[in-house]
Amino acid sequence: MKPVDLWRHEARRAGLPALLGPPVLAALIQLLAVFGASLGSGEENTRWFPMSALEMGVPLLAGVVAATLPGRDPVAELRLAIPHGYRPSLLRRLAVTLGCAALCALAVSVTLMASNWWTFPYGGAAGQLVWLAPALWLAVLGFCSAAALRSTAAATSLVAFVWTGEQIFGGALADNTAYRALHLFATTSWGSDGWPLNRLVLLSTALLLAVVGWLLLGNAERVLRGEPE
Amino acid sequence: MIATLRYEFAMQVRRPSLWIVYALVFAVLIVALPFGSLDLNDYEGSVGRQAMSVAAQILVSLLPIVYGCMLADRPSRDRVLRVDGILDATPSGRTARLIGKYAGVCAATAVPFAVAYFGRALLYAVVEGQPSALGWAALTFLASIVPGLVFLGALAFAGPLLLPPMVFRVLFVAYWFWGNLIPAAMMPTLSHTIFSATGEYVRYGIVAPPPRAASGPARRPCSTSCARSRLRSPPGCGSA
Repeated sequence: MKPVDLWRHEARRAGLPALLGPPVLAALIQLLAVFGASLGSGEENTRWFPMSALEMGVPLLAGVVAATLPGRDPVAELRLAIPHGYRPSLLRRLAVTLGCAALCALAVSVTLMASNWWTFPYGGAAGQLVWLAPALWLAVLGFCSAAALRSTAAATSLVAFVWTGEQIFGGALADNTAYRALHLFATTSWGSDGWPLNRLVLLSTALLLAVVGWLLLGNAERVLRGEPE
Repeated sequence: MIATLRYEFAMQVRRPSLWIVYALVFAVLIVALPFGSLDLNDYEGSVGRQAMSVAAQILVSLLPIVYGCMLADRPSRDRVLRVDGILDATPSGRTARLIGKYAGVCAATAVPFAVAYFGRALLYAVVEGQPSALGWAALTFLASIVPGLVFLGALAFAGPLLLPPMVFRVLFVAYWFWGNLIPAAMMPTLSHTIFSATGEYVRYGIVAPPPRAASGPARRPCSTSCARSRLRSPPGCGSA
């Protein structure tokens, strides 16, 4: 089987909703910007919505999709028996879905920058961290939770809780230095103050979580057992 | 129907991941919000019914997310495990099975919610020496929280049958945020209306008036209403 066939297979395994979600979200963000402008919404207000949709919408989608990917293989025992193992297959599936989300988010951010909707001090390649850092963090959290709890529903619940909780705790814990470094939506919450450090901490902790998820998925017996029903 | 209800209830309530997720969420609530403090950082915390109302507000802001997501995989479970054909061959009717499954699963998923809420009420009643708080807690739970959970349960049952489960979960989270949490000044929303599933109208209208912190200008830095009133809002909108 050619490598491209493997990637195509994983794209099919990920499912149409996981691949169609990001383009739909990207189209909605752009429509939101155009609609807000045509309604005569306050300029600063209208700018805030596409930015927050980019920073919050893409991570939610990435987190839920990543939480759904592990544990969807009815013949996982066969997968675990082949020479290349199960984990590379899951990584390919994750790469396909997150790559699709990343391409769409990139297109949106480039459009916002080109049309002068982007007023955030960090632009260009660094500006992509607006959506990339929280999206990676939530995606890895979803993936790791699904591997740890062996339940899509539980992993999705955790992603959903963290996503919603971040909206709520962002105000209550604004003075907490440790929380500021880990807050997912620092761009639209607090602007550029301490933003590079925040993004760096998010990416580093996402890497740690990814290692944990990778180790958990390496336990074949655990993967096969699934969630106790 | 009763047999289905009992079996679905037992199956869901014994699910380890249900308790693990609720426990994690509850631990974060205690650390990040004033749920653990007896006066709930509120001026009216010494009044039993007010304290129970504020505790309900804190829980109902976040726990329904877990409630809805943990429910969403139950309706299609029989089909996924390919036992729906066997169940169809049994004498029990489909409607009875559906109602039993709905009631059993919703009740079981609400158990950790109730444990968190009534545990808080019991602690308050013992420490403050106000047993009436337990009565107010029961009234608040039944009148304000349960209707919302009944609605969310129905939504989580119907949604995955109409949409792919993954899409439903994303939309459910978006719905909860948009329709129940965001300040009304931000955009057109169901939040703070009679259609909100948080039961605010009942809680504030019948059980207890709004906490002073939510309506007065002299709001304390981190009042119990912080969960709702401190949500980020776009420039120019102000906070609700």
